[in-house]
Amino acid sequence: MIGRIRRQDVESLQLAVHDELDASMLDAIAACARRVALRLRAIRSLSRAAASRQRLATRLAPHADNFEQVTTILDELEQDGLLDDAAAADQIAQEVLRRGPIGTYKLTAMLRSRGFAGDLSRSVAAKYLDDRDELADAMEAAQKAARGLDRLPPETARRRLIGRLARKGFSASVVRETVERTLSRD
Amino acid sequence: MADRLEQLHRLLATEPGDAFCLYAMGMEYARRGEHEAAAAHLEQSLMTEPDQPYAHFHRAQSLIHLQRTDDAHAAVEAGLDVATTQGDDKAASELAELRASWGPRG
Repeated sequence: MIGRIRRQDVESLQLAVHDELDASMLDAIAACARRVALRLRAIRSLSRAAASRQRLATRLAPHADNFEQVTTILDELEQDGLLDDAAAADQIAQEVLRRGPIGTYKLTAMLRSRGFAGDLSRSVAAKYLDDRDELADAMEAAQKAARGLDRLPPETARRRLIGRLARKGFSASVVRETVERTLSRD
Repeated sequence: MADRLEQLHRLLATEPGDAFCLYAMGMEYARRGEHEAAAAHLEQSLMTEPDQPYAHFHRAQSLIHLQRTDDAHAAVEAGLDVATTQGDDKAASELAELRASWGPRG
C-alpha cells in the first residue's frame, strides 16, 4: 500500500467524471501519490518510536520532492494531534529513565540530541528529575558501574567510576560523594 | 498529555489496517504485559503483511505468556519459514533460540 487518500487529496486533484486524463493531470496524480506515501512514511516512523518534529523532518527529507512538502506533512500531523514535541519528549524521557537512573544534564542532552528544543528538554528533565534524590540515583547507578572495578588498582578504579557516573550526567559534587561512599565500602 | 498507547491508537486510526502500526501497537501492549492484546495486534499485522519474522517472534512470546503453547510453537515455525525464505539469518537464529529456550515439547 502506498497510503490512504484523504479528503484534501481528492479536493486538490479536482477530478470530475468525464475529465480528460492528460499529462498535467497525470503529474498531479503522481505528486499526490508521493505526498500520500510521504505521509504514510511519517505515520510509520512515529508508530515505531516517538520523535521530535525536527527528527521526523530529517527522516522524511530524502523521500520528499522538496522541503515544503515535508513542512506541509508535519503541519498536518501536528494539527491531527499525531506529532507533538512536548508529548514525544515526555515519552522518550520515560523510556530513558526506565532503563536506569541518569542525571539531569544527561537527560537534557539526550533530548536535545533527538531534536527537541533546549527549553523543552530542560523542562522535561526537570519534571522527572528535580524531585528525585540525585545521590540515591547515583548510588544505584554506581552499584552497576562499579562491577569489575575491584580488580583494578584503587586509583584506576576511582577514575573509571568517576568517568562512568559523569557520563551519566550526575553533578560533580554528587559524583564525588558517590564514589567515596561506593569505593570506601569495599 | 497523550501516552504512547494513545498516540499509537491515533496513528492507527489514520491508517487502519497498516501492518507497521499494528506491529508497533502489539509491541507496546507486550511491553506493558498485556499479552492478549499484544498477540491480537501482531496477528492482525501478520494478516496484512505475513512476511515479518519479528512479528511472528514477538507474537510467539506473547502466546507463551498466555500459555497457548501450541500456538506459540506454530508462530515460531511460521517465523522460521519467513526468515529462511528471506535469508534473514539473524531473525532465524533468534527464532530458533526462542524455540530452544522452551525446551522439548512433551
